[in-house]
Amino acid sequence: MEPGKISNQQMTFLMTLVILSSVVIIMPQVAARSLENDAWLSGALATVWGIMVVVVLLALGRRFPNQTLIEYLPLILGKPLGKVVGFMYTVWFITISAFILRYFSMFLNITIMPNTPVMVFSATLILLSLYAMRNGMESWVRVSEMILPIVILVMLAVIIFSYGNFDPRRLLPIGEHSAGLVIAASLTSGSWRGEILALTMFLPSVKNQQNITRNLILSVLVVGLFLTAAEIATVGVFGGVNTGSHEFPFFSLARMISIGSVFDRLEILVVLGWVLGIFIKMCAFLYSSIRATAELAGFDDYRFLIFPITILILALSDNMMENIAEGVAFLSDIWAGYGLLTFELVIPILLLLVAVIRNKRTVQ
Amino acid sequence: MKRCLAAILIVLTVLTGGCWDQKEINDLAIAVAVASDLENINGHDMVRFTLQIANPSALVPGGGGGQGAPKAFWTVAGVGKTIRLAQTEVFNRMPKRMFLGQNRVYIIGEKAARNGIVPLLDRPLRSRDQRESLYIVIARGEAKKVLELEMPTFRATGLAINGMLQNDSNYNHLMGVTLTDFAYRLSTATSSPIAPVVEVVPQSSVSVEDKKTGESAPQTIKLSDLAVFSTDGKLLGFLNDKETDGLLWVLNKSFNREIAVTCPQAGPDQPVVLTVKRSQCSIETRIDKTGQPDFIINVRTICDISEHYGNHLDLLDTAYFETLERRANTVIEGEIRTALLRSQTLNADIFELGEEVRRQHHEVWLRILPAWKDLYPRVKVTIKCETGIRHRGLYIKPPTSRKEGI
Repeated sequence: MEPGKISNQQMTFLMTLVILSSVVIIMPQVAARSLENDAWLSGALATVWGIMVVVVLLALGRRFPNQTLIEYLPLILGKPLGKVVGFMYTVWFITISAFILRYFSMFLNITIMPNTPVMVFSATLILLSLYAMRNGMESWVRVSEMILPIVILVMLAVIIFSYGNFDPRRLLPIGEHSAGLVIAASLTSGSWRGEILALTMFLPSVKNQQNITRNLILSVLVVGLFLTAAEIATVGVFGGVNTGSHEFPFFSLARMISIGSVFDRLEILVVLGWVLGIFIKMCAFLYSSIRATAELAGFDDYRFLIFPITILILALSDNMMENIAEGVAFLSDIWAGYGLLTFELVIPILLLLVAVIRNKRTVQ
Repeated sequence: MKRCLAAILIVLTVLTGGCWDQKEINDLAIAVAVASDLENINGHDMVRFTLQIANPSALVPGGGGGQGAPKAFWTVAGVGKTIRLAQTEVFNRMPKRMFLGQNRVYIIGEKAARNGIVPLLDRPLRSRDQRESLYIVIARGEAKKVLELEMPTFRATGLAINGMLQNDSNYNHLMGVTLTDFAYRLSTATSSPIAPVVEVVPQSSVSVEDKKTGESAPQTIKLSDLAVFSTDGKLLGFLNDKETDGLLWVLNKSFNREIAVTCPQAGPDQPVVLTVKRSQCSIETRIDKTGQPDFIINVRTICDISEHYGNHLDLLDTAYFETLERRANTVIEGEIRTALLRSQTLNADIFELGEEVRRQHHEVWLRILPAWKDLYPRVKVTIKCETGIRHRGLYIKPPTSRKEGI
């Protein structure tokens, strides 16, 4: 199916970008609306969910090396049920791709270019991703090694330079909200961390799988660190209630930065980091959607599906939500149920249980 | 295929140099300050939105001045039910596009502030062309008057106000308040928002040149003191200079400012002036037996002696420093006490004492929150000050003739 091979490090960088790219921009708002000054607790707690997802998926991956999620589903559940669940996962990949695309375009439209139609951003990004797909997986995965340092530098710059407006007292009291609320919010936050589910589509292509568990857990931890730092910074600057009132708190945080009138207007850096990161994330989900479709249908090659699936995602994204309010409502109300509580964590755990009970594994 | 695609892309990069949102600097009317006033027209409350628009060529040093020089700025105003509606009125009076990206100062008239400031803050928070680091300033009287004034040398008042607020630590009784900080206080249940006050005053010194050209006495702006708002954003009153200084101690904003201490020997006629070099304040909350909170405000300060004259030569005596430190403590405590009394009279929690209860004793806070308005005017506050005097400058004794016995 896939001739390309990627290295262990490329896999780690790719997965870090997949789970880091959108969460820092969107999550502070969603978390602060329910938790106010305790928002960062949910971001930190979500790391636990992320690690669980990684452990479960890699346990499955070790049972079925050289096979993707869609390929080993029929082996675990039997052919009819396996195909049904595989279809559900394929739809999941496609809808998430469309959602990412739409949210990305709306972000750019709201923040920097209000007069440019949303479709222009979507079309540009999808064309770029299409080009990346056609050049094979190896090439664009390699690009992630170049992009991750930039994204991390941008985020560090914004978080560090916001110290001028930072008041630690705005974070107090810690633990004002009940544990139930924190856990509920951490499920939403954890669903982003759970997007690491895409690793199941890349794992067979990884050349050397030594230490892959450690590396991917590390990547979940790093993302947790950045998200927590971003939430502490936004709450420390805006206060808990007002962080929830910002559409993009992290972007607004970058707008506040002014160091000696020299370092000014850093928000364009956030946009740069976001565009670069989302490109890789888009590629990862687009690739997963295409490959899942091909494997579900039993095709030997996925290349001829690149164009139709891409267009499908573009069309779907255009019809996905009318405005950003619908997107935020999805993220705060439905996302946990669509992500962590079903596709990302609960179903994989059930799959692992069934595989262990029925003692299913590929014989080598 | 690939070559064809590449060719199309190259042509596109040449043809599409910008995007839908491109703006040329020549097409922009760059506002350096904006103001909102409340205007009563035919019995309806309307917003008058005023812009101070800079003339970039006149702001370049050396470019202006002399007869027939271009004006440094012009002002334009529009009236509407809301700020955005007032802005649309402004657009029809401007040949260029309004650009608020460089705007750092937002002045709100006294009448509008008394009527409620919240409706006036939505637009700068929501719009993407202004920053939240915008300074909020309250004008005594009409805000429009401040923007219409042309200061000699510094020209645009908006730039002058911005410059002063950015260096607020170099001024006594002045503190810059950004939109973020103002909005933060509004978002809390108990804290009262505050903002600096600007007023138009006659110039304190007029040059001969000005007397020749000006018909009436030239005017300038004065930026000092603080306006106090209720928790729902209505202007309650103003703190005077001493009360403002008292509040600045508690908010950790006292830096590089002067305090005058009565001389222990020569009395109030020869005060010793101390410059604050560092000041740190913490608020401690305790719950007494009846379940009511009381507060301890701890202020630790380090000062330098910046003025000390007269016919006493005690700066050689180290014990004398301690006397000065004690007196500085009394002055600081007095300033904080005055501010506290004023805020309790206004029933406005400008010290964020309620928030401190929430931070330190959350259960108590939940209980007393409904009654905080009745509680605050009689809340008990202990003030503890600790001042250290560090340097005495480059000169030890004042240049008077030596006294006998030394």
